[in-house]
Amino acid sequence: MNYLQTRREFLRWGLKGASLMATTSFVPSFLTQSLLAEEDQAFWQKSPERIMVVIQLAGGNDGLNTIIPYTNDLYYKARPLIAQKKETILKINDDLGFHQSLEGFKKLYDSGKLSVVQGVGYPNPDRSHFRSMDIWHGGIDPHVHSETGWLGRYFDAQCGGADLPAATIGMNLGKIFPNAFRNAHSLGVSLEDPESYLWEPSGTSKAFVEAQQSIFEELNRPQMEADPSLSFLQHTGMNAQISSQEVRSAVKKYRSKVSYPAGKLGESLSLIARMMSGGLGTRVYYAHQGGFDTHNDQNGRHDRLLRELGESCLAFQTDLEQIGIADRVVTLVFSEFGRRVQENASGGTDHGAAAPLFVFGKGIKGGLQGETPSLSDLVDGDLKFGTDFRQVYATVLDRWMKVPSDSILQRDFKKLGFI
Amino acid sequence: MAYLTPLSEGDWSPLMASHLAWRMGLGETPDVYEALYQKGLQGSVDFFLSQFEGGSEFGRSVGYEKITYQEKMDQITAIRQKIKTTTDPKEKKVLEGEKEQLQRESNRIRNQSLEEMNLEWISHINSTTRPFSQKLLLFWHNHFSISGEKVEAPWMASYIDLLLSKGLSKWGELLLEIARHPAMLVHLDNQSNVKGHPNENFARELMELFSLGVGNYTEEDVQQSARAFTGWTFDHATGQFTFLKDRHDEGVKKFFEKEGNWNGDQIITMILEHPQSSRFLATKIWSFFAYENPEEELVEEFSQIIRKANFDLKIAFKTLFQSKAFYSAKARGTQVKSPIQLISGTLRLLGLEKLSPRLVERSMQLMGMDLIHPPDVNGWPSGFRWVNTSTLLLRYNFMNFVVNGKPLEDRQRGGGAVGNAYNPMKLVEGRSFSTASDVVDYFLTYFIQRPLQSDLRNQLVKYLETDRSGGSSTFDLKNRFAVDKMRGLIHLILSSPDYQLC
Repeated sequence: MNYLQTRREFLRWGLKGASLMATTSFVPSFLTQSLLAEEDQAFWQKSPERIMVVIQLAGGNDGLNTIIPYTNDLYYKARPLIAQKKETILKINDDLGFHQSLEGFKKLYDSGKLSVVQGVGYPNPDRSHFRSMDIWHGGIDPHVHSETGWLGRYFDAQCGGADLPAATIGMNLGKIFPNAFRNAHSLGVSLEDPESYLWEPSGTSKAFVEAQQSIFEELNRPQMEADPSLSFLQHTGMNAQISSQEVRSAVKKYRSKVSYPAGKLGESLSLIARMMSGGLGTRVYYAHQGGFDTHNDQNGRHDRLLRELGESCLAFQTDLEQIGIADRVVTLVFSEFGRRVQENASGGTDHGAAAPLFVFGKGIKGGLQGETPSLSDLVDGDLKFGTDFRQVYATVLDRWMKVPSDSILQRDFKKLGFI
Repeated sequence: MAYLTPLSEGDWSPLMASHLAWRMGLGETPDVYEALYQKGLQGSVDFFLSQFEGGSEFGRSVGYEKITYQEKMDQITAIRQKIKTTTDPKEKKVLEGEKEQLQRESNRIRNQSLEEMNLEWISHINSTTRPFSQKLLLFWHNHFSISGEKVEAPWMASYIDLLLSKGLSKWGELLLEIARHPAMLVHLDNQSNVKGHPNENFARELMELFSLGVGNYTEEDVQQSARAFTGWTFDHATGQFTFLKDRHDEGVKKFFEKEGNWNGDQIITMILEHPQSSRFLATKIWSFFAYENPEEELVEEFSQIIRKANFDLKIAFKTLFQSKAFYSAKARGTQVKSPIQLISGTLRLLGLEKLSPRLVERSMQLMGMDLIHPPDVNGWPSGFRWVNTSTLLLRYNFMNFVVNGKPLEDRQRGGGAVGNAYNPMKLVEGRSFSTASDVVDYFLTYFIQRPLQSDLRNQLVKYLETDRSGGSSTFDLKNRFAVDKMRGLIHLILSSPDYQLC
């Protein structure tokens, strides 16, 4: 049974059950709306659409030891144990430079493909990992809890148009589905290893195997009268089936010649490049790097984390250029907060506030963006923010993804100059 | 009293018993539901609660090359000193090399002991005869969320011991003992929280994650209370809590608007006196064992019971598991099983408790749960957040592994192992069935809490009646293809959204 038949079968069922489906809460209305169009046009045609990749650095990256004010005495005074020596800095200008492990970023920067947005944060910063991460994921007023995520609302916005969003419009690499993807239509999938991303029947005869396959499909699709928990699971089961074959065939088409550094981030980015080259309808990819919560003995750990980050991103950009899709992709690198200016007694840093954010890609304007945060004018020992993180979102949504950002972010933000 | 009024014994049924067995424990077979039904509601709740008695000596059985490890650590400290004092760059380089070698060795010892501890814990869970004690342990471990990332095996093991012996005592007692435990002192850096250089990590998470929740304290409360915990550390040889007076900040601290020279114990007492502390505990317990986002009135009612009972956890849990709300439609069959619940429950139902703990560990990790490494200080995601397209397929693939012996991961990557196909006849021994419908209905009762939609049930019946040529014939347990088909039936039921819930 090939993929399109499976999908068509889902859609046909959807029409039959359209009125019933309306009663369950997790049913994707785009499936029913799009039924007729499906019969005529190839659904998965390759589109020259623009793509966004988001890399999340979990734990709170120490921004001040990432982009370093290496001529500022206050920096050295605040951090006798962990300050980076002047001579090791990869200099951007007379005041600022990259941490020595960030050769990857420096190369991207020098070729005009990396923009460093300084002092990014939001008013009344929250120093809890979870609240702050939720605020970044929600992308609305920081002091209101958001049921949906900024990317999820972007997916929803794509449902209204003539073209159907693919079930794989949003793709998360990893086990934990980001809150940023939460949306009304249950769009977006999550996977780690494309090879094992499928369900296999078993049995000693063709008849048994076929019967099992068809019952499995029935079990894993939205049914009438399911309560929210069950309906959610049924819908996830259906999305898994829809995306399974598509993803596995996409990654088979390309083997990268670029070598990525060892580690989860490199693995994820390499896989993302393969999926892109296979022509998936995915518009947003999401990758993770963890371990940035450096409360003690920060130096060795932070060096390794930044090295992995810089090298993985450089390899990714090189890979995209070899595939020939680099002009369609922009990548955003963020963390939920920066860290305290003053180091603590354990050779580490505690939770802070504003920090630099990175955007890279062939189609962006490289360089420094925003004001360098002052080291003398602090709030509760933390850097003040000069750029709201939602300005970054707004710039990417409006100018890269070409969707009006004000409805997604529930406010009109001033755009930045990196695109 | 509305939500937490006890369910009447008259409403007690095998269905309610199965709900209790999954939530208080790790899942049971229909025979056990029947036995619990005979015991009655109160009898059953008491039966599970009594499983907690006796404590545990988990930590003592963990093999750990502690002495070797400590030796390496001492050597590393000595070399560090030398590196600091030497002026010869050549010698410095040699010393750096030696230090790295020692670090690698100590890491190896460290990781190996953690791994052994983790496997032993998994075996405990799978083969336990006291499921409630393991379930409660999982709850507290998720609450305090201490990770082997920073904490070494002996402290992890003794932390588990502490949860197993104090998990049903008084909340304040448990909280204080955890706060003073080596695992927590390391995990949230309080051992380096000293006068003049406060480390706020513990003080913040104490209030945010363990006792009050965001919005019930100020940034100043965090900074001031951190000073109260300065000087709290432990003896690295014995694990004994130590208070270093010369590292403790004796100054005046302003906490919850009150000024005084507060110490750590006093801060914890003041936190418990905060009206939010019982509401926070009530919400946390209810969400884990009954359902998420409990009604405000319910939280208020439960909170008052907890406070009146002086934070006695046994009374809190007894109240919950007997309450009407716990047996309501909102609670039954609506919880997404966590990976450990799913795996351990499946192994119990299939009689495969002895499955290699290493395979269980690997499968759980694939589904997003690594028992000694919670993802962060907030513990694991819950409910829906366990499930996405990736983890759902991984769950189903695990079922394929236990039922059909298919490898866990793809062959190309060489992961997993080929198991033995399961003998489904074990589940029907001594029972007779006259039709395919009887077999299907028996298995559905066996594996899922709520009835499967009727047309899906009928398709399963039809599947049993399928013959090898694709036609239809009467299902007969004695037919030589019956085993094959029963395996398929079980695999399908376990690969359903319905089975992911309890």
